[in-house]
Amino acid sequence: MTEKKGSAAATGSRTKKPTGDYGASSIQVLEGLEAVRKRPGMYIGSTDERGLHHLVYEVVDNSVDEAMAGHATRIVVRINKDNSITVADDGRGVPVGKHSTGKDALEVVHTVLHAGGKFGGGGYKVSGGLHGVGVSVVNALSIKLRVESARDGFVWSQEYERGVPRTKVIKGNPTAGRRGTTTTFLPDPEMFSTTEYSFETLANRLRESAYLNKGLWMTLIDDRADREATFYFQGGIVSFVRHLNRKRKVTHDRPVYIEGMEGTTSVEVAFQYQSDSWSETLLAFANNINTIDGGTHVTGFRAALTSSLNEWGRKNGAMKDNDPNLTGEDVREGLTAVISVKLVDPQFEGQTKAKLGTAEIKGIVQTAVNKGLTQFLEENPSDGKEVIRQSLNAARGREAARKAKELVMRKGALEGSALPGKLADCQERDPAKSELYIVEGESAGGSAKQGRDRRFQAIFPLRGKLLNVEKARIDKILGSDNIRTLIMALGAGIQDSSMEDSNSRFDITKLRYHRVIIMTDADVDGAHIRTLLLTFFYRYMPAIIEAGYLYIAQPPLYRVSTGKETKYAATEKERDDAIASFKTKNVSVQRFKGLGEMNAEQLWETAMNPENRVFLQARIEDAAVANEIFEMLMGERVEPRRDFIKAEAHKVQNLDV
Amino acid sequence: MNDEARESVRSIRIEDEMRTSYLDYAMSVIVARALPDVRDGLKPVHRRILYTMGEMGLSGGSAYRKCAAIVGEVMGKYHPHGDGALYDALVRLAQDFSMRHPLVDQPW
Repeated sequence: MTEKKGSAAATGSRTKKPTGDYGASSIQVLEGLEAVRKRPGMYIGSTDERGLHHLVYEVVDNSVDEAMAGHATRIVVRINKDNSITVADDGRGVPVGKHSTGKDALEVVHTVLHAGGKFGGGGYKVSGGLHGVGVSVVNALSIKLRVESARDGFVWSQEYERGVPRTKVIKGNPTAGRRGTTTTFLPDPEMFSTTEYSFETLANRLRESAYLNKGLWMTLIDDRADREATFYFQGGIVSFVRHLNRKRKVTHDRPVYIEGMEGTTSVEVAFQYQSDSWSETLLAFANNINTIDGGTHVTGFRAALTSSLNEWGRKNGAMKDNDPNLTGEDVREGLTAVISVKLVDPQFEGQTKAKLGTAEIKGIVQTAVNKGLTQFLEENPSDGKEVIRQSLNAARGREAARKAKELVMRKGALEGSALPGKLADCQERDPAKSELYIVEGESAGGSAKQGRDRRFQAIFPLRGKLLNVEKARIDKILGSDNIRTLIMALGAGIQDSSMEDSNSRFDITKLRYHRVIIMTDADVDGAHIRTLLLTFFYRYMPAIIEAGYLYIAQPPLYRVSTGKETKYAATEKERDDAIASFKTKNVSVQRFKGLGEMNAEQLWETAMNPENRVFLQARIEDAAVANEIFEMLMGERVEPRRDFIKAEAHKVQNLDV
Repeated sequence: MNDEARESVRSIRIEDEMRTSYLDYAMSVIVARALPDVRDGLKPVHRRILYTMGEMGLSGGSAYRKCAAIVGEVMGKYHPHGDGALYDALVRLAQDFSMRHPLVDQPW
């Protein structure tokens, strides 16, 4: 990260610039944890809710590494009343005693970046931690942090403030047989936009860790609300697969479980087929880190799955001679799988560890799955036949859809240089500067077209409600006028498994706008259209959401004016504040039922002018949860949806009567 | 990302947005659109139509009026949705195979 500054210095010293004084003296080297406080995003991703929760994961992952090494069995995470967090485990405890740097080892671990026991020094065989920065970063971003390490017969403790030790390492009471590390930290409100922890978010993450480490007890206690949850899964990832499929109709009752070991690398795979949806749910982990972009372990699994099923199906007569071989696509339909590999020195691609790059893993996983799956099929032929039958059906369905789609394509549905007539494009050609507003209805589209800044804002009016893509096959989706024209307006194609071979796959570099803004009416039908649009983007252009290009506009609900001055408000509280701020009785309040009721100028002023507008940026935090939500709310099955509405009915925020 | 001129962008989890938006829609449809009220057996559309017709002075003895006139009146005053849905709701009220006792009369 610092190399960049070095090269800038070289050029900077030669060229003389009139403004400022950019010379050798302006090159800063941030000492120690100062760097973390200056650029927190580099270490924890962001400083919003997500970054805040990331602090907990950093500390918990250290405890999980202890568990993976076989030393810890219990991890307790406590959300204290003041939103500080306490993480306690029963592992070996952080080492104490004089370190070669002159400081205590405990202090080194907590205050020096790139210090830790996970660089192959014998302390850990496999671990999720790689860089030795985790807990130091948490320390730097906390007003207060206190660590207690119970080992060698005594409880050793130290306290820090914003990463700076406030005390020496203190030798406390005898441990009385207890051991482990207890860390309490209070996030610094100066560093984070919010410091309120969410029970659900933490619970989801802890549950996941408990699945991946069978036999590990994970407890989450919320002292603010007196809630508690404990996760323990004897079955490990098999339970995980059952959990993912719990609301679906499964093709075979018992998930397939495969375990393999080669040298120091261990492989665990569990999967089960379901027939409720066409989509694939695959979660892959390397040393407990969720590799959302897959990698070599996923490639190995897929290769083995396809070849084993084909081989067995042919030999066994489950596939007829004139059936075509199943493709990777076919066997993925309805698959729910969890892959977990544990290895020494994993290589990840990218700083966020989103993709596993270690090349040998592919072969290891492939061998293990081939062996395990063949054995499973021999032992459970009826399950095998069901799976083959489902895959063959998938192949047929895909073939039919492909033909139907080709018919649409031949008519030039997604190609052609002509943009759809409905789109009011902007003058800007650089996608990074262009914005696309997707608005509801022709009338709102009209106001938006008049109100926009045509230099960089484009308008796309939807006609009526969008098709629910969760319930429709690709041929029908492409037959929908709204969707086809929207795809053409965006210009990047769509991502669909049946399109693997064709040249119309989703290509984010061709995307014509780097801001795609959903702007629907502030009524309940607007909310519905928003969910339909989100479903479409999530299923067919997830890359747009992952890149952070998808936004939701927040048009105001109220207009409060005295005739001279006007304010807009999005909530009832803001409205009342605005009324109070005028200090006169002559205030008129207008409630906008839809965008169509605003005139062009009002729309620009409130929802489109970059100076005033407020956007929500949609992001996918937990792929498993997101997938489940879309399936439940928009999918084929009614019962889970009804249960959801029943259970959550009291939480409804806007009732439009 | 670019640091200059940060406008206000808050990030939101897509599943949270889906949950709240969907719940708002679903509950509103249940409470105020799809289910008949236990007091009069009418859905809001039908109630709006009958009320408007009353306001227009249409009763047992009055002359027939065109559907379009009624639809236009209801849409303008009470029902901010498309005319197609309104028209269908109005027609239903006059069908003797939909209603045991049709609430709206037709001239043939």
